[in-house]
Parts: sequence; C-alpha cells; structure tokens
Amino acid sequence: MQKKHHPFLALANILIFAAVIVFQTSELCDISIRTASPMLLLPLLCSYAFFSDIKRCVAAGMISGAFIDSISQGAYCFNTIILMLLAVGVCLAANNLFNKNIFAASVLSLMISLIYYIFLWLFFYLSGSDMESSVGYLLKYAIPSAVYSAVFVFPFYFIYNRFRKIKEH
Amino acid sequence: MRFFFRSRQFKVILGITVCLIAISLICFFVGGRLSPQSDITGTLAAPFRAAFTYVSNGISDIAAALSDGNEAMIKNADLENEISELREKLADYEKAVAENDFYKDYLEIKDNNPDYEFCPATLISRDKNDPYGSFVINKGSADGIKSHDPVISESELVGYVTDVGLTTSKVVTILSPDITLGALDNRTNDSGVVSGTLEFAEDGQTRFYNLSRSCNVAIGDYVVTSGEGIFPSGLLIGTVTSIGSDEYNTSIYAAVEPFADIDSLRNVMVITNFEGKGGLNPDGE
Repeated sequence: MQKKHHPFLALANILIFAAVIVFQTSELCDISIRTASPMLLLPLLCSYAFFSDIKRCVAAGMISGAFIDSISQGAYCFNTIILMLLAVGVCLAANNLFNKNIFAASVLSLMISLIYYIFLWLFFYLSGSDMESSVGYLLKYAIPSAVYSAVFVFPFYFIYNRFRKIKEH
Repeated sequence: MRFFFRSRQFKVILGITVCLIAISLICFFVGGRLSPQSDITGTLAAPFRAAFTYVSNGISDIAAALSDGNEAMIKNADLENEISELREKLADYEKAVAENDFYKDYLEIKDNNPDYEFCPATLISRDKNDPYGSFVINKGSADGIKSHDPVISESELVGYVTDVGLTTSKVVTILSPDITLGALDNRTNDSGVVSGTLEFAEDGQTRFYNLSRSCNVAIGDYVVTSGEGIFPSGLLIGTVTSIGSDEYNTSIYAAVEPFADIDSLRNVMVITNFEGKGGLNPDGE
C-alpha cells in the first residue's frame, strides 16, 4: 500500500514526544503510585517503533534519550544509547517476530520497560551503594516502575494505530 | 532479521552506539560536565521546563489557596469570580512575601559570611527515577557555577552541583549515597559523616554515622557541616530524629531529618565561592 507523506502526522508526532518529554522532566503532574514512577517515554517509544521504520526509531530514541540524560543524575549518554537501541529492537521485533496487535505491543512494552530499569539498576544502583540498598531499589522502585510504565502502552498504541490507518488510506 | 545485521543501517547504529559510549566514558573520566548532547538538549529545553514548572507551581498555589478557602465565600456565587481573582492575587502576594523572605535569609547569611558568593537559581526539573530527589537548576557554567559547588536553601544544606552545562546544572541532594560530608553535632561537637542510604531516603532522612560510642548525640540535636571537604563550615544539615548502633556495635549512627524540604524546593542558592574552598570532593576524591 502506498504511504503518503502527512505533515500533520509528523507535527502530531513531534507534539506528542515534546509533551511526554516535558511531562517526564518537569513537575507538572506527578502520577507516581507509592514508589512506582512511570517512564512514559518507554511505552511511547514502543508504540511509535511498533509502526515505524528503523531510521525514525533511531532518531526518536536518540533525541528523547538526550532530553532525559540532561536531567538524570550521572547518566551521561545512558538514556540516549538505551532508548535508541530499545526503539530499534522493538521495530525489528514488530516487523519480524510479532503480529501487530495490542497484545504484542503490551508484551514488548513490558519487556523494554524491564530491560530499561534493569540496566538503570545495573549501571547506577548496583555498584554505587551497598547490596541492601541496591536490591531494595530493584524491588521497590525499578520493577514496580517498569510494570507501571508498561501499562501506558495502551493509549499510545491506539494513537499510533490510528496514525497508521490515516497514513495507509 | 539476520539480513539486518549485515545491512548498512546496522553498521550506522553500531557506529553511533560506539561514539556515544566513547562520549560517556570521556564524560565519566573528565567528570563534572554534562555530555555534549545532554548539554544541547538541556539548554534547548530549559526555558520550556522553567515555564512548565512555573505553571505547575502556580496551579499548586491556587489549589492550596482554594483548599484553605472560606466556605461562606465559596457559597456566594456572585462573588466567586472576585474571590478567585483575590485568591490569585493572594497567591501572588504570598509568593512575593516568600521570595522576599528567601532573599532576606540570604542577606543574613551573606552578612554573617561575607566571603560567600551566591548565585540564585530555580529548580526546573526533577529526575523522577531517582529516589534521592536529585534535580536540575536553571543556572550553569555561563553563570559561574562549577562542579561541586554547594547548594543551599536559606541557610540549610540541600546538596551540591554534580554536572554543569551551559545554562543548567544537576544537583545531588544530601539524601543520596553519592554525597559524603563531614558533620558535627552542634551541641556536643561530636563529629561524624553524613551520607544517604535508600532506606533513610524513603523516610526523607539521611544518615549521620561513624559516631564514637562515647558520643553524646541526642534526639533533637542540630547537625551542621564541619567544614571539611567542599562545604563551608556551619551550614545547617538537619535535626537528629533517632539513634541506633551499627551492625558490628563499633559505632553509632543517627537518622537526620534535613531542615531543607527537599521535595518541595523551588528556589535555591549555589555558593559559588567561599573562604577555604577547594577541599576534598564529597565522593571522597
């Protein structure tokens, strides 16, 4: 099917990413539940990569990761690298291993959220503090936050699925 | 999928990843600077973050004013608009009074410590993944801020600057295990070390440890900086809320509740210079 260029969709994409990045990095609204604080960029990137190509995934992952790195403690390029690789991974998996449906998107979202938080823990919390604190971070913060983040794939999936339909028609 | 790993796209992604890892390693070993792409994105996003933080603070102020409102006034529908306007004005007035107090407190510190050089800053962003409450301020190297500069709120220690960008800087708080500073009990002069742990940070507290078993630290005592390392002496850290013994029973520790309300900070001051600056880093280096 012939895909047309839609400036409106490109603009909508930029606005969605900008809104989520601002939401994620400002104190506009806190949607944490106890110790679980969602990283909304993960389900957003997952949904975007699910219906996108690799070049766009690399760009989206790198740019959004750089914004998160600018506020994360001691992160340097961690988010830039991992969000780029996770977006590419989702794109490849969606195009080669999974059917494009909400179930596959939720599985991928949960997987990338867990991978992201486990890497975050490995790099920044495992070596930096005592074992009790680092395991405490993994169990009390990282895993609940990963699961909570993954839940947000549903709204983003429906938005990007809608965008795909608009592109194809 | 195997064709992807032989493709040009894969080589480009691999190249980008290697470059980013190299930049990370350079930043890690050089220390104290944001990575170039973080600096650019941080500088670009800073005005938007500041605007959203301003809006979000305004919303919380109005919500707080509404929740404290007079019920009789709210019942009067004709006056609702007027009340709303007045409340907004009141919120602005309270904000102005708070800002006035804020600067007055700094003037007092400045009077007591003429060697201090301050740079006022506003908190524009928080790392929501960090249980220790680290945040970003709207001042960077362009304003004379350097890595390891102490950050205070009124006369209370908040933390120190870790990474500096052109117009933004990251601040680690005293709740974090990344910070280790010499401290004294203000009443007894018993000395120890203040550093955070996850367990203490969950309760909004930090740990004052390495105290000798014969020390006289008591609940309610004030803990202040001792002046060793990068922090000037006499900055208020917090108050002792409980005392315990370490697992080998060789020394005791105290839980310290910081005076600075780290969760609701809006404005801070960075001490860019003071007499005796240039000691050990707070991470012990």
